[in-house]
Amino acid sequence: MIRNIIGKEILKYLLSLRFMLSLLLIISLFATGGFMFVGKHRQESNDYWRDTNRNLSSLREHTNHLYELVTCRQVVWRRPKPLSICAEGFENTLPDRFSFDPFTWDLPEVRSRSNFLLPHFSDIDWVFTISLIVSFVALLLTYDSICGEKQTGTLRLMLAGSIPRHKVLLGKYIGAMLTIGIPLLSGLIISLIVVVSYRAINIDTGQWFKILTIVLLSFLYLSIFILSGIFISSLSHKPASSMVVLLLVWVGLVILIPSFGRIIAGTFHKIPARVDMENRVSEAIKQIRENSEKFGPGAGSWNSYNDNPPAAAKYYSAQVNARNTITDEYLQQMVGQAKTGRYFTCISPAIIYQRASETIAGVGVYRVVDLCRQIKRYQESFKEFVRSRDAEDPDSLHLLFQFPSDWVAENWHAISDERVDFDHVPKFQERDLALGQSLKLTIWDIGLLALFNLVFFAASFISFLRYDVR
Amino acid sequence: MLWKIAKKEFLLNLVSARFVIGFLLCLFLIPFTVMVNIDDYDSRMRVYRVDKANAENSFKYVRVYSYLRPEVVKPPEPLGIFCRGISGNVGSRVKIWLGEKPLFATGKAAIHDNPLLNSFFSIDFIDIIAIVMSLLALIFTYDACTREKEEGTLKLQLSNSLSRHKILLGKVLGVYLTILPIVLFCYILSTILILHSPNISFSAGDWGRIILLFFLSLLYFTVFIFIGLLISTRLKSSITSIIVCLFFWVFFVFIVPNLAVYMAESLKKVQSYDNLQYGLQDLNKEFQNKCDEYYKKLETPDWGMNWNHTWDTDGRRILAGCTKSKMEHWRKKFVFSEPLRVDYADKKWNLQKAYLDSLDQQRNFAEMISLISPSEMFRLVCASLCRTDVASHYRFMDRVRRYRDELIDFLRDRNIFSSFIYFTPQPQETFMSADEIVRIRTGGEFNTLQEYNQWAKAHNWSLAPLRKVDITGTTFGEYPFLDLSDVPVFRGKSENLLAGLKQVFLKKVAGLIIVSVIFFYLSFLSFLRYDVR
Repeated sequence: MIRNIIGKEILKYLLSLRFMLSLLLIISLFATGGFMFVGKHRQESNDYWRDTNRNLSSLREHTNHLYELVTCRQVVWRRPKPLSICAEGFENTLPDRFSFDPFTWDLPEVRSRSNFLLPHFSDIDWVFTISLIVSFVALLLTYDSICGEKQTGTLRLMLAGSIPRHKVLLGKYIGAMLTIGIPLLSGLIISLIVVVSYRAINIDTGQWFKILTIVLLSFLYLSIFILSGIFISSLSHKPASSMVVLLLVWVGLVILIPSFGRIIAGTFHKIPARVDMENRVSEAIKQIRENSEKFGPGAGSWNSYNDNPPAAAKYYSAQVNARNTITDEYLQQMVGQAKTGRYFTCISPAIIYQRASETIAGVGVYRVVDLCRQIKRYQESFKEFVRSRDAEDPDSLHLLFQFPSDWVAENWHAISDERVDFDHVPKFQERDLALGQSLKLTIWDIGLLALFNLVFFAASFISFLRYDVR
Repeated sequence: MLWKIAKKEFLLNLVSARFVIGFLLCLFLIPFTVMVNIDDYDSRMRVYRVDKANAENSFKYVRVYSYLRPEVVKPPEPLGIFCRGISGNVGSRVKIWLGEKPLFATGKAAIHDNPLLNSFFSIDFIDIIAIVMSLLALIFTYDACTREKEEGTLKLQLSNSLSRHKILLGKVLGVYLTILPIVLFCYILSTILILHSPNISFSAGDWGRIILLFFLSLLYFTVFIFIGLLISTRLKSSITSIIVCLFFWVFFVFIVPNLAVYMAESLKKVQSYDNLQYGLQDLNKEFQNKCDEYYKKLETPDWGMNWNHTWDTDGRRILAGCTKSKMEHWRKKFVFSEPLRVDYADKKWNLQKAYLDSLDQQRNFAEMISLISPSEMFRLVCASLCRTDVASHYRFMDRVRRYRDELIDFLRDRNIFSSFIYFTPQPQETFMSADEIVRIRTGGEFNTLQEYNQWAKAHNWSLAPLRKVDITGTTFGEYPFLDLSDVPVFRGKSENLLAGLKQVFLKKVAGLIIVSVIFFYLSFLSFLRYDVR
């Protein structure tokens, strides 16, 4: 019997105007998004490789002497990802330039390559289309699923038979899910065809699995709206009023709550201004300068590298450590503030879905944080490399720390001045998380989405059981 | 009769759930956003005061003209509380350099303290109006004809001697009467909040602009009311009508703006900022080479020693206590380099202008596409009314550039580039020859530079004998700051009510009016031919 209901529901939807309109809208959005993405990705890849090669050639220029390598400042950019077609994660406006030397790193910067004259808007990626447009279509499909049948009188008729109410509800739910799957899947496939047919983008097996996960997440997300549509429709007796209520709920959940994230983060989680952080750094360094004697006699003197090299090394390392600790702390505070915004906006399934897909696709805020982490790891391996090379040179003092100036590096012999083979120098490469790891990160989000589903299902079940079908 | 219909519509709407919900939504959203934006304005104002004080200090404490590099600080725009426009993307501080024309503004607004928060959208008063009010306008009109047709009252009405246009006009009036209190309420509420906060002062012109904003909002609703009416008169059932209305709403309010920006970004390429930087670096090198070439031709000063000498980028240099010939040497350098620096700034500007133009073309392209949507038209018009649009930013930057020209003209007119006061606070009469300096500083131990040099050569170039006696007037601190009262200062132009709102603004407003008239005409035609049975 449940099959009959599902079949009936699907047929009803397929013939309706709203389905036609949604199909048209969704497919055209996915297709446009795909085409635009290809062009944008090409541009970004060119920029990325140009910048990366520039960085590598500057690294190569520093391989004449080992000490030069230690003073070399590297600049790394975010690599454009093919999975940004699924979730772009507002990367246009997020920091994309990471500058560091083996000892220190700067806070990531926004070298906005995007046009500052344009207003901030999201790209037309899958997450935008699904979280905004398809969720809206989900409501359009289901807002009259109960009360509409009541109005036409078919609900009475159906329940006059021996079919239990939960089967009706389940049938309606599955019917709606299958119906919404048609435009969604066809849109996704079109978008993928557009992207894959473009040669420069290759998607490996791991990424296909990630795409699949995002698709499953999308269904989980849309199911919330289908269930809430059924729920509201089983509370009201007129389709029009159910529509109005659903619309307002949708505007609230999908548009307004996410928009307040920034405000909430700024109001409830205040962090010190960047100037204060910089002041703290200079204060800490000043303190170290004043107490330079504790690192050894003459550590802070202007030619300490002649008088007492180990003390000077300790002294300069202490400065670097102080700077790193404070910068690190500040980055944590920044991340904390962004997280607060996210936590507060978690009432909105759109934000949860967006965050989960971003994590799976490996983009967004968490990628920036992860990149910082990877850079720190790279710094360690870089220093390890320098140390191992330095150990081979008997003339060197084996004191590895940030030199106060290039002149000191050159004249002091703290580090070997042998030539280094560029091929052996470790180079930074951004690593993506494996699917398993990113799933682990999104487990809470998936749980929350499932919880939303459960709540709305239970609510619609109860309210439909008590629904007056007359 | 018209009034009766309007009144009936009004009363019907008033008791409906949509009115109550819409009203409550505004009651909650408007104060929240306005308060947040007021808070934002306050913090911008605080930053502005600090920046302004810094800029004034750096203008005040100048001892030589080469260090005169004023900074222009733009006060935050109070009307930005209503519509932020691009004010979040651009900074508020512009430093005036000789070697480069100002391209961007920098400062807090341009670089948010926490860039990780950029992953959230921010919302302002005009956004709420654009999103929520357009939705309300459609919700109130989608069933204007279809409901009455479904209930059968339309037949009844038209069986009397009532003309169709009166019914339509009555309905429009009814919806207006319903929506007017909500809009008015939004504006009054935000006005009260603004009046209540102590840090904001609006000029009479600003209040005029807010009133214009109010009328613009009404115009914006009119467009959506007519869209709703048109759809309602074309369709037979309310359900189809609301679905079509909502599709239009989603398309206009969400899809078009995003799509426009996205399309512009991927179809219209902009020059890369890095390339611009490389171009500028090349010109800098060229400039430096030319200078170096010229410097080689100059005869070297008799003694390179200087007691106080500080320098910085953009030709900033201050020195005191040198020999007469060295002072003259530097003066000749500046006579050549500074006018050349200004010329090179013009050369650099060609590159910068090309870059800015490419950005502007991209923006124009996005704007052209986004004009399909009335809500984008509305947003753009509001931004220019609130002086937070791109054109206002351009006007500000133009004024800053003109100010730079004024400043350079001032320096040229007074021959400051070729005078000693450009780089030394020391009066010309007190310049000494190398021998004199050596004699005084060594307390008579050596009489000439040659004598000292002979001695020093044997003693590892020790400076000790030169430290015996100080010469007064060779440290910067001994001189007062320059009197800069005649140097031109940047004046923010006080704008009257309609300043800056020229053709573009009027075109867009006319666009909104034309769109609403067209929709009205179409709905009128369609209602005349509506099958009321």
